[in-house]
Amino acid sequence: MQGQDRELLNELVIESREHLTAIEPDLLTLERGAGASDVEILNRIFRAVHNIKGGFGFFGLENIKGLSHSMENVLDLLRSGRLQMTPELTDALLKGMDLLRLMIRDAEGSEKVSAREVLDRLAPYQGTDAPAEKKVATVAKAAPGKPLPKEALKQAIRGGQWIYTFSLTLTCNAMLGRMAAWKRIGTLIDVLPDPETLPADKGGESAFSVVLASILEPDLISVGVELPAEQIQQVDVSELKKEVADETKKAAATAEARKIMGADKGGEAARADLSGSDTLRVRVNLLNNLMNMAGELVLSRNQLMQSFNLKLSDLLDTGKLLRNVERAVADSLGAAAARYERLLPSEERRAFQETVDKEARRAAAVLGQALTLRMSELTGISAIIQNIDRVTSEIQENIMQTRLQPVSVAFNKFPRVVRDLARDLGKAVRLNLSGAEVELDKSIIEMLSDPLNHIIRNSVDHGIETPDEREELGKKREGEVFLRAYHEGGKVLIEVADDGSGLDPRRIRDKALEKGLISRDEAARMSEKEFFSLIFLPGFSTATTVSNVSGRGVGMDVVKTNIERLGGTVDVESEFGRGTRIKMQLPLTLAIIPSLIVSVEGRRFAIPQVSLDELVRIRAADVAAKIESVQGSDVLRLRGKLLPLVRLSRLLGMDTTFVEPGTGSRVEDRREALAGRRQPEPAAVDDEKRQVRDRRQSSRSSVKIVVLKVAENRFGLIVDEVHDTEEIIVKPLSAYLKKCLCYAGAAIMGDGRVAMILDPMGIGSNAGLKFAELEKESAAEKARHARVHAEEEQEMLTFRNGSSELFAIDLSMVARIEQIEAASIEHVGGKEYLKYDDRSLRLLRLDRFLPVAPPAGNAPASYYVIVPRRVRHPMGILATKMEDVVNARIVIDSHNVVGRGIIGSAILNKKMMILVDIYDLFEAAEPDIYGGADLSVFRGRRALLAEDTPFFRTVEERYLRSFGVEVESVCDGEEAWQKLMGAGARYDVLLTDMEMPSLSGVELTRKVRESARLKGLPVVMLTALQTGKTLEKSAAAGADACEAKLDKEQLRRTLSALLSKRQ
Amino acid sequence: MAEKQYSTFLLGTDLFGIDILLVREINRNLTITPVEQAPKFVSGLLNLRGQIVTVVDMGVRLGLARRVMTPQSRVIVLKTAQELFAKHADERLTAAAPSDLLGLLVDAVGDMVTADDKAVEPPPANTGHVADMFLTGVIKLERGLVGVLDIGKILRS
Repeated sequence: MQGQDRELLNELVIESREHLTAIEPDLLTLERGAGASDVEILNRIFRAVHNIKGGFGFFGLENIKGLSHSMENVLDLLRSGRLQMTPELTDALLKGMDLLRLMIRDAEGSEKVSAREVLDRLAPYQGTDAPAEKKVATVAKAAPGKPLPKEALKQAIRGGQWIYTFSLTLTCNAMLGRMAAWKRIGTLIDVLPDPETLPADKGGESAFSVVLASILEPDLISVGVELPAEQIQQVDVSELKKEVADETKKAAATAEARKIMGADKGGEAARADLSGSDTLRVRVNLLNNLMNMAGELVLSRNQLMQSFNLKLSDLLDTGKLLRNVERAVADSLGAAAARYERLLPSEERRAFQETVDKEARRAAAVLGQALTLRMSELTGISAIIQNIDRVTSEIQENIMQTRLQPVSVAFNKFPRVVRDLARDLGKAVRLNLSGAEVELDKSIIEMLSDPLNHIIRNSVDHGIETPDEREELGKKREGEVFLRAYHEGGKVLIEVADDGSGLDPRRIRDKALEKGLISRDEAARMSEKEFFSLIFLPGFSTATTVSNVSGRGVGMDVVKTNIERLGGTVDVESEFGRGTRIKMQLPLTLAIIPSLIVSVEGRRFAIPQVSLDELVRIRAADVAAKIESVQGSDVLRLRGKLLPLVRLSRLLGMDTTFVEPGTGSRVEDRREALAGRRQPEPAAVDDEKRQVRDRRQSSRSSVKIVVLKVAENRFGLIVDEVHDTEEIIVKPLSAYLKKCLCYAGAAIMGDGRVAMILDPMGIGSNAGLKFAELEKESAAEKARHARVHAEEEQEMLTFRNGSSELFAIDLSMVARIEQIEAASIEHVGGKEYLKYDDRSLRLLRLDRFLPVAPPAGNAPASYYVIVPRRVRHPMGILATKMEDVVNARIVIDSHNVVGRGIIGSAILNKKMMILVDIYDLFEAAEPDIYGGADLSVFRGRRALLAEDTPFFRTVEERYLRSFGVEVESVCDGEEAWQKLMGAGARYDVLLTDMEMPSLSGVELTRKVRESARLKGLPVVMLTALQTGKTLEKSAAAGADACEAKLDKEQLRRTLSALLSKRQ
Repeated sequence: MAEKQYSTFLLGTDLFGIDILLVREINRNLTITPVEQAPKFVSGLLNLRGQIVTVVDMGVRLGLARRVMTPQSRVIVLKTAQELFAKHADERLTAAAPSDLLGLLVDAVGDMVTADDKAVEPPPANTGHVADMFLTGVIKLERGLVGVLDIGKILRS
């Protein structure tokens, strides 16, 4: 085929595809029986099929022509009312359409495709009325008579009709009847004589001559007009055809064309919009090029702005320099003046000084002027650059918009999908589309198709009940599926909802339990919503019967992964018995994605932000403790979970190096795994050698880990450096690189170099991560972690004392907070008091008793007073400002901030707070009341403290030590038990937290009581919240006492009593 | 009688030629980003005014050694099939062109050579070089031989 022909064929293919796309919904509408508009719709379908037939016939593609011809025949019979639409016929026509589409896709290869099956299906419908086909003869002119109306003929030709002429002899009435029938298959151009004008009473027959324009072809016309073929002649209108063709060319794309479209009332408004609006077909290629160039333009703009700013700061530096010169000149002038004062008479000196001053000032002024001029020039350029900046951004944005397509591109196939599926399943389902005009990036729409298909099929297959079931449930027999798209907060939302049976949370739970996706404990804690989200887990499918519709191994997990890959999210809502709604949130455009830039071996890589979970940096000193090896691969113990690690450099097969701390140079690293970083050294290795071996542990070789999440799995990627987040434009990769699973594309960075974009999913599978095994390994830890975590949060009241220091007190220690006027503070004997409930409350200022900063600035007009609880004699702590109450896991640093009354410091939300020890503070303020207790009973005593929360452990240790008790502390019950059972263990008392991982305080106490050796050991149970229940539990286990964790006074009394009994 | 123009380039001391209608431009920007896990003959990616060009090391492709970059090294960027199709280029040419932007890394570019179809002689009997299977013919010049390469075969095998 020649180039030009091929181009024509290409045009035809594009056009025909559009026709076919339009036919599908029309056929479905017909099946539903839209009523009056049926004929319009039929005409439209007929025209489309007819055009396809004509077009491909022109290229000699007989197969396409033959099939469309058959379809056309059936459609014509439908149009003339001689055939009724049935679901079976719709099936056959739809099948025909599918085949046509298939053949058209590869038009040149269409001759090899067999259309037999579809033709056979269509045959019975045309067979009833189609006797032996006979082609009619052609005549040059219609029967003699008056000249035919040219316009009517042209109109017919434009509509692709043939012109026929025939004569017959009939009575007037019979003729009128026949004419009505003919009108259904075409247009009567001329009838002579007009039966209407003939006197009706004239009973005899007359000879009529008819000119008919019809879409029926010469081999069909005789059937159509119900006359023998010999009686009909085709009129040769080639002359007129040429004329029409010329006119059409001239009128193309003008108002005329639009009017014809407009006259097609059956077409929905949307259709007219599409064809008539100011749109242009542009090759995607061209858009991609434009986008590339816009990207490049942005790059150049950045470079321009950078160099301009450099220039500007240069100039500003020059300005500074000039001022320095000015100052230096002034200084030396001053010095010179001082010297001349002694050397010259005052008159001369003054004259000389003035001259020098003037000269210097003039020189400075000249320089200053030059500088100002340059500055003003630059300001002018700056305005231009800003303009370029703005326009560039707009160009990029606009070009981005050109890639947007209406979601209808993805939506349009679903009416058919739903119809076919519903028919297969014996269900009645109506699909309601809305928001088809919402626009999304072309690539997103392309990738959206599969997930949508899956969800909609699910809705029809599993969601919608059979008509009988629905009737029993009091629902309409016909189920409804809604497919909606709309904008919300800069994102596009796509919803698939149905009014079917909804999700059954119990069935989901059972299934998840059965498949081991969740544990019974977890199930017991999960909400309904959480159950629903289980359907997104890999390996989950609740369909009890596996139909050919679903159950093909593609589950909702794939849907979720695909949507997340697009940078979107999926959410499910459901009401059992009422229906399900699946909501997908998508970004408008894919082309630009925020990404984290990392580097390995000096090379940069981009990681899409969507898959980013967190960044972890492990200090070199902690590497050995935190990274371990499970089945030969590195794992990181992160918050009690095992996280598989992948070294990017090794995965990609790069030559790995590490920075040698001594020289700073990179040296080849041959270690296989990080866990091998610190093999236990043989005892005999001397120190020097050890140092050499350990050089990789210097702070420079801390390990940076980017934690990525892929579906439900997480893994860590070890990189050399973590840089900034950048918005990058994704470029697809060449076919040569499609096999490299690790990459999602390439991007051009600010310096013009290319960087690869990593695909976390590909990396995960490439590294062969065995998540399931790790999952098992860490299951025990997970359970433990869950329990520990709940315990670990402390509620802290934070406040200020007029300085920049932030203080904190555990909220359980606070009884009340009062706001008071500064004037209401009374001063007695150097101490401050507040009248409070008819009593005097001693007020304490932190800076008087603790080593903290004094308040800065003026004394405020009002204060807050914090009144603690669990103290013998309450005193109020003065604060200038209440900051916040925070819930957090507090890790106390008792090294950085030390001093009396201070437990230590902790970092919270990047701010450091000082934790106040109230007992210490009170003791410092009132040693007479708080001090002086008899502590002799504690001397030489050893206590074992089991407490899992670091905060409480620190505070309790501190209390015990202040009593003079020697403390050993452990983090859980199991450890405590090991200690107690250890050889040579000698403890005078056991203090244990009630709730702990692995072995709780209650269990530990029970074990102690059951042990022959330990049963006499005093046990004090500690609890964060003292209630009747905890007391009861503690007593039942056999503990001697149960105390609140932070109540130092009570703890001292209890311990004192217990220990004095024990010798 | 059809005359064709060939763009020639050097690999080591051997001179090769490709149909000049396939050449989009010759680039001296050699900041090529290597791509790990890519086929060996892919030397990396290049930024061509905002478009990504996959650079093929012609040395490796023709069974020679990996190219070492020198100041004379060039990347010959080829036209894509789409580009040629849009311009109604000869069908055989379009079929040979790559589907996406591709560059050939060569040691240096030589002169353009014009040769009559008849002047292109069939390739010599197999001499055992990998390059031979990619040759469609040779052109004899006064200075030596130009091996005419079958780009389609090189890109697709």
